[in-house]
Amino acid sequence: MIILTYMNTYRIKVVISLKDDVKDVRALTIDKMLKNADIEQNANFKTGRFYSFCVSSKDNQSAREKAGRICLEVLSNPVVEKFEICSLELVQ
Amino acid sequence: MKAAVVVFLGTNCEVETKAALEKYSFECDYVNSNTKALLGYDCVFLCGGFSYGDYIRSGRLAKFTPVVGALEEYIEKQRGVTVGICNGFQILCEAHLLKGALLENDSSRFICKNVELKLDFKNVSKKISLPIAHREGKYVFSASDYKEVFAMSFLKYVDNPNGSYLDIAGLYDKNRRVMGLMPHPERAMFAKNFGFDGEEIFKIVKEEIKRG
Amino acid sequence: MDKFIENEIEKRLKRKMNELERHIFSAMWSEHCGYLHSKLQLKKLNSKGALFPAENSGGVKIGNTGVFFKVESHNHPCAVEPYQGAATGIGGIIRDILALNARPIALLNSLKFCEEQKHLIDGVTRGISDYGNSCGIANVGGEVIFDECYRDLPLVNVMAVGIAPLDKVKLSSAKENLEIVLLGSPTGIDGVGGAAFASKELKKDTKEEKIHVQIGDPFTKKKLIEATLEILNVEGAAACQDCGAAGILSSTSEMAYKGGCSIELDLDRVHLALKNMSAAQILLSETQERMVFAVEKRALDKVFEIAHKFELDISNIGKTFCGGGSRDYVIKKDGKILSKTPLDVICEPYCHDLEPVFGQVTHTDEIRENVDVKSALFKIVASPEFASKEWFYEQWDYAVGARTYMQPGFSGAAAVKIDEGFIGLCMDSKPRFVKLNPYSGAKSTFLESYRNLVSSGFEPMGFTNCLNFASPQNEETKYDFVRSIDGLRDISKAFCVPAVSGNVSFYNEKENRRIYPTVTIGMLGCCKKEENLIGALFKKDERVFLLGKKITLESNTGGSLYHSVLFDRLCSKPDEIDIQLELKLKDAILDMADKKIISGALDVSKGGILGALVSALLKSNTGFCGSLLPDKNLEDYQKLKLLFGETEGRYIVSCSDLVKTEAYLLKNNIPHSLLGKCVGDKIEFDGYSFNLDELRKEYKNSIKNALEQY
Repeated sequence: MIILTYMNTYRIKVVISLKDDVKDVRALTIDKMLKNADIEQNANFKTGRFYSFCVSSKDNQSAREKAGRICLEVLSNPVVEKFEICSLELVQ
Repeated sequence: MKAAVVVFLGTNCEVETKAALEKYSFECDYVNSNTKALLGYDCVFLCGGFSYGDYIRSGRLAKFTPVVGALEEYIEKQRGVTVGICNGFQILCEAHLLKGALLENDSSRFICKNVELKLDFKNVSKKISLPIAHREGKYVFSASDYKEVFAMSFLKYVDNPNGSYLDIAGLYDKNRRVMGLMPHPERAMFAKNFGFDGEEIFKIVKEEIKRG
Repeated sequence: MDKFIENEIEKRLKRKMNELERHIFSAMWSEHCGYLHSKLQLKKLNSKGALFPAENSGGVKIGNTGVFFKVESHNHPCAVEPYQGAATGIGGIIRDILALNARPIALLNSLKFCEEQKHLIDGVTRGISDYGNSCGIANVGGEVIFDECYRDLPLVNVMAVGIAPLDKVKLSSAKENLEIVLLGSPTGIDGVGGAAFASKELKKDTKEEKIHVQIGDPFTKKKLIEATLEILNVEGAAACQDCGAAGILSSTSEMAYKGGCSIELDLDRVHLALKNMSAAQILLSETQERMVFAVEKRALDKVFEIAHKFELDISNIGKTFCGGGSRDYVIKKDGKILSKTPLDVICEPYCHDLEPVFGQVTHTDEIRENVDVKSALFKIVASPEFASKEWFYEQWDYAVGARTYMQPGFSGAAAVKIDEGFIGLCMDSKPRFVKLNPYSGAKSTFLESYRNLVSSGFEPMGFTNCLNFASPQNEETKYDFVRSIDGLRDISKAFCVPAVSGNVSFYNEKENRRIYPTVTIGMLGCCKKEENLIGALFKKDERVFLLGKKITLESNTGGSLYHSVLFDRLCSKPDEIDIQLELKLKDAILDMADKKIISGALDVSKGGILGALVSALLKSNTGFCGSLLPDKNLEDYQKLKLLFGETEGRYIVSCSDLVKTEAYLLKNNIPHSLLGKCVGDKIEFDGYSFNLDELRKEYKNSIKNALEQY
């Protein structure tokens, strides 16, 4: 009997940002500027980077794992940054 | 002649810009980002540095300050000449007072060195050498502005260091009352190793003010 | 905490420590803050002639200006997070200078890497670039050294230089009845416990150390610089201290201890980034971009006004007072006194004296393998240690402020303009030489800087040092450390160039791998006239002379770069130092520069005579024709030694008037030999001929190619 494993393609969208206990100095400066310009008093900014990419995997779960590895090893600096997978969609 | 040197929080080239202007016998005042009164000055200099840390993007946060609002009026009324050097150029582009935008260098690294440039301003046409020091100095513009930008550029890199379109290092606006450039003329007026070609730029500024 | 230390503390306190005091002492009695293993040794250094050597940073006096400079290491943080590590390293050293009311005007850095660790090299370079450039302080020079011994143990030593009118200098000792003010970023939990972290060996997986990473904020730093300089010129602003290792704790306790009074802090008044921080967290946080001031009550309003102008947070966190017989450190929070501890126990930790077992292995073997000169020269020129460091310094703004008159790559030292003339700055280290012999190696490192200044036209005035070593618990490191300090003491006395400041970094080891003992020297010189500044380049038709020790096979060349590049060996005896000769050469070169006899000069160091000659010619628009070898019938290994061997006491100079120069050298009894003339566009000597453009390609591109290839 032959078992065929079909590989699916998933599109992943992730955001990399600073860990909560790491001071986000850029965000604080933007907050202050918006306050001074009287646009928003409590903007509470967070800064980060957005990436979108595809992975080939057999299922949703393994695609998520693979994306996590890419985030951890390639896209982020794990010493100060965390990542969040915002969406994961099967590409038809 | 009276010159205003605008000092935002994070600006760091104000001292040498003032010294260069004084060498050209300008009477010079530092003005901060809350200043609204610019009309008393014959020229306004936005100098180099990292206004508001260049957080978000170079020059982005500075445009929310009162002085940039006042500058819009200053330019609108064609009161005098506005010059943006490096960070100042970035601010002018961000505030849409000049065409185009400045992106990160192709190398994605900060570049500090002396470069060869071609200066073409009215009847002046010569090669000069000026220092550059920036990480976001790649000048770009939209295709629809091509003709205009082409006509308004007055300073071009001989050996493009950062990927700027058309090798553009500096340009002015349609009335030639606003000038922006990435190289630092104020750094090329004191020491032999950096040359004295910065004077060419200050000469032009002076002539343009006289033109009225 | 070590049981022995605990007993020692409680013996001196005459009681048990409470929870908070345990935190206080584990920080203040750490190697990083307390210099436990180095304090007694460092006292040996000669600081005669230095300005305020006991302050945050010492300096020298030039006219009516105090020029302050200090070097500091940020090795451990850079190993964990290179970008933030390097950035906050610069931030820290800037604050040390700033605390004296001196405006920081120049930065230098001495970096050591393992060539293969590109992420560390890239991170550190960008960290320096983004932080230093943004603060608006010119990064005028330094050095980069590559060696396998720095794998996972990069060394990042940063030097800052600042100037202040002598009558405006502020010290860090706070007298009684002053208000304590904290200015700058809100205190958070970033970097809590950093001082203790820097005082131990790196663990296997550096990711475990994440909580100690401090985040630099160059924009706030720039504001902090301007605000501090304004505040310290306010009538009634008495003292200032930077808030670095061990945060508020270390800065406030030292201010009061030096001033001989008591201090009381109310931690409820500290502006915080987070709610519910514990007393220990607030005291020990190493949040960047903060300064502490002691000001008279009448100055408070003015000081707060300045802080607001620069959009900086500020709080009045306590006061100094006369405590009668005792001098105490009093901590209050939530209306209660949490700790009251004698300041001398906090600030005078127990010090170990290092008693090394003397006796050092000597490496006397000479290299007798042959490599032909042509391929040797190409290999050396392309080696990252010799090659142009353009890739590094072009990422750093060396011209901001328009004070830079000689930029990196132009000469052995940078020239920076001050009102009284020019200061020359350089940073050097010779880890191979210190490894071979710590005593002579430290002296040789000092001389490397000395000669770099002299060959650029500067009279050396003072030096600072950063001593990077492995763990002081091991015998060899103890020996290396003590002998290095002996070397620095002796050479500094002999040349009357004082040590103005310094820093020690121990525990640069990992899994029993140790770095070479690395002594980094930062030296400052002075030159009155612009026309006396000398570049390390030659002009067409000039003659080239070697001054100092002759080219002979009798020289000792241990530690030379060619040994490691060509043979991967570290061996043989380093050269001896001739102090009288060095002084004579210095006087001659500075005098000849003043009399316009010479136009180009450089010292002979990495790559020996040929290395020096080639590095000058690669920057110049000329070739060279002459003779370097005393004898043509030599084996290749002998030629290598003569051409690339590194000895002490040598300079190469160029001049346009042959007769005048020779007459001067003869009259003043300066040992010299004429090497040749600057002609053509090739380097030709003793039957060899090299195309300069080919060499230049290797020299300019080798580092870029190695680092940007992934």
